[in-house]
Amino acid sequence: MIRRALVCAAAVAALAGCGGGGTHGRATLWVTRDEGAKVLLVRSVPAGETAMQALDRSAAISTRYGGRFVQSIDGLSGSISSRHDWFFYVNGIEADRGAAAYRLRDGDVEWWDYRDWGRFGQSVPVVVGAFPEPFLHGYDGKVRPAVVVGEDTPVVQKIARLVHGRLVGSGIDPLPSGANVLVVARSRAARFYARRQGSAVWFMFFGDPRRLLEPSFYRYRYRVS
Amino acid sequence: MLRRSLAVVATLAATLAVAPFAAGALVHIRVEGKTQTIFGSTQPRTSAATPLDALLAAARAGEFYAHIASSSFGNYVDQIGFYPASGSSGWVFKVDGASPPVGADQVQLEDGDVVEWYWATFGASGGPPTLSLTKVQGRCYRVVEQDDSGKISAAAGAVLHVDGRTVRTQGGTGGAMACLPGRHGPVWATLAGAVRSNKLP
Repeated sequence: MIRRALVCAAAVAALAGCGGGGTHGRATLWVTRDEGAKVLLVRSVPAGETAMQALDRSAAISTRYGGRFVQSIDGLSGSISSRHDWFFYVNGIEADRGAAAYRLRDGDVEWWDYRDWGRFGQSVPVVVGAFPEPFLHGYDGKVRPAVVVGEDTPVVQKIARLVHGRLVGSGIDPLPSGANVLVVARSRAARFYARRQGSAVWFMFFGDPRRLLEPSFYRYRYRVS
Repeated sequence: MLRRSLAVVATLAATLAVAPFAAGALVHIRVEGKTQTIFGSTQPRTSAATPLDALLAAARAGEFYAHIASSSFGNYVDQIGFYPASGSSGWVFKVDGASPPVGADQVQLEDGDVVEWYWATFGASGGPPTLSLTKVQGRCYRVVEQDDSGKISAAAGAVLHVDGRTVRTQGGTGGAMACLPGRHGPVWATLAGAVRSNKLP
């Protein structure tokens, strides 16, 4: 995924096509559990299919509620007694529709995670584990402009290129509305987490910026703290 | 540059919190009245050391009335909004779905706790169950109820309220649940005899 994203960044920085995605090409399917602590399946799937079709061709699933809800994947089933369910993300963003209603775009990361419900009423609307998504492929083909807030150093410049973002070195105020924002701030202890901000996302990184160039630092995780 | 980054962080914190700079833990607060939600249907955040602090922070933010009475066994809340406690009905609270066995000024909150104050009429089996709504896989909503001890069970028969209409949930091993077909507005759940759920935007 990372390699694909970098190739994409290098090859077509000038073209909207890379970020916009399409119904041709490939998407990536991840199946994990416990907020990505255990990776159960990683597979390349065709774009153009629905997320449900891509999952169905890759794993044994059962559905409920008229096929709109995935009850179990490879025998692992959501239940009230265990307080667990399958949660569904695209490019690190919690899906706003069922998997049967989401058509995969080129470059999308379809991510299923089996986890505890957590505290009631508190959803996890965006996670860092698919970084540099959703900066590159957005959600449902809609890619927002990206802004990186950080020091103007070679490493942060490289991070800005990675997310196809504009580095706000000298500062602009206010930040452009509707843009996805990556804040890179130096700190001794490394933290990386994401929040929804209106309809955009804000990714907050504290630590040595070079860590953001190491996928193992955040891959499959909801947050690093 | 660093200052700018910190300003961004501070802005982010401020947009998400009711009262970001008070002492205590960062918790979520909701106040459910007898006939409607009084404050925080979506469980906004506030800083509070105890459930009583959280209620008072909400009362300040939402400009609603809350009264604390003193008695030989400690302070307690005897009125929120219009209705005073009376007979076997009154104002009680839960932290993360369970009723602590001590007073509202005795519980030390931790970051992320969900504090719920609500109107309750007590019977032989204790207070009413409280409903919680969780969104799963886009447009599917799961409703569960919790008793005073926090024990979770399916809220059989619960209905969802969305866009001015009601939607029945279906039972089964997954508990009470419904998947909505299209785009929709905020959703919450009710069930006769239970305290209404949080609202999901």
